[in-house]
Amino acid sequence: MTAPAPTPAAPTPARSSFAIDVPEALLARARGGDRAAFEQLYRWFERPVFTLALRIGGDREEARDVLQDTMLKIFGRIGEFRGDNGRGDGSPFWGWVRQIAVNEALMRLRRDRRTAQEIGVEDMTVFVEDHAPLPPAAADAAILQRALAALPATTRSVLWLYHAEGYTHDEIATLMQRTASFSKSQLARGTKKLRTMLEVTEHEHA
Amino acid sequence: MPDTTHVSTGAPRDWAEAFGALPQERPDRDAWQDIARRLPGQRRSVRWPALLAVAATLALAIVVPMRLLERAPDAPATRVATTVRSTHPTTAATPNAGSAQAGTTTPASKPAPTDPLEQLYAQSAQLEGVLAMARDDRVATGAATEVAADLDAQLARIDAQLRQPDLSRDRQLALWRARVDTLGTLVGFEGTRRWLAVHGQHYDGALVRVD
Repeated sequence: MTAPAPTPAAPTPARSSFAIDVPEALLARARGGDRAAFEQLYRWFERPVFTLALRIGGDREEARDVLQDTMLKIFGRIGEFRGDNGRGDGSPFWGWVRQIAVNEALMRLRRDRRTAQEIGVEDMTVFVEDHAPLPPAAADAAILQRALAALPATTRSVLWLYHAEGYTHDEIATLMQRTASFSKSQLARGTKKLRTMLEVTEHEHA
Repeated sequence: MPDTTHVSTGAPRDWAEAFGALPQERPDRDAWQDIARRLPGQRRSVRWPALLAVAATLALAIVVPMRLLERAPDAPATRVATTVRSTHPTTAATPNAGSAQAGTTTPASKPAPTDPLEQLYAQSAQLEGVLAMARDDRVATGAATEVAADLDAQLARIDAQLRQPDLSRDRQLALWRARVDTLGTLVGFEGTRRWLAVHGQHYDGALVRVD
């Protein structure tokens, strides 16, 4: 009789950096065209939007452009946002902001074919979930950021949207105009490559 | 015996935790000025009496520093005075010359400066005074403090650039405009923060989970 295989620990729920509750009073001011309210919203979402754009595109100037375009769209359409109705059963404002930011960043990625690269996958039906313990180098922010930056942009985007933002494969497929299988395969191969890079770095520093 | 020295108790449990622990980034150059320039014509909200009260307070606060500047222009009380001296030793000393010679007990109203740089100096000084009155650390909360600290850091960066020798006039104008804009932002932020505090609200956005 063999011992049952250890069940992996429950994965950490993604905790988006966008998840900020914005006071309704501030949104009302922004809907009224108050410039100061716009700026306050900008200050709140500057880092989440820029970080997301940087992780997806990998270029700081591009990320700054994404930040600008995202904010201008938000301010231009803020009157259309009707998500959170105060009863807690609508979409939060931050979710709306994030959706616009992701769309902007991915649109630029698609536009720039030079960077919109992905790991080639022959068989898109083989998805290996990675539940193994992380290499210790994953705890080093600088090393992890370097490894992420070395991934093809599309692959990195799938990893970021899935792990950091908590999107499902179906949602990623819709956002990237691809299939859920594509998202799953990129996640599996990208995670494997990321793990390899971190382990190599670890050996180099050992 | 297995080597466990590499196992850190602070190591992330999974990729979500590892990615979530990465520091957030911000652009190397503040993007707000560019966004503000591209915004369609804004109308200011004046619907709330409380905001009118804040505006009245701020207007009063602008007048007071102006009067103080006219009477004691050499007082090195504010950051702006220091910066002005370091980049413009001649202009920093000019405002009191005329009024000292006038010898009157009632200060004569001074004509508004026509030089754009002088205008920016004046606006900057006024806003510094307003900010000193608007800021109230007793109503500070976590996220709000961080936003304010960011703006302060931005101001410090501008001041550091203004202290560079041999700045061209165009560069000085750009930096002083940025300084005035940043100060305006800070004043607006502090005013709103106080308004929210009065109404039992605060800036701290509670982080919520994405399940």
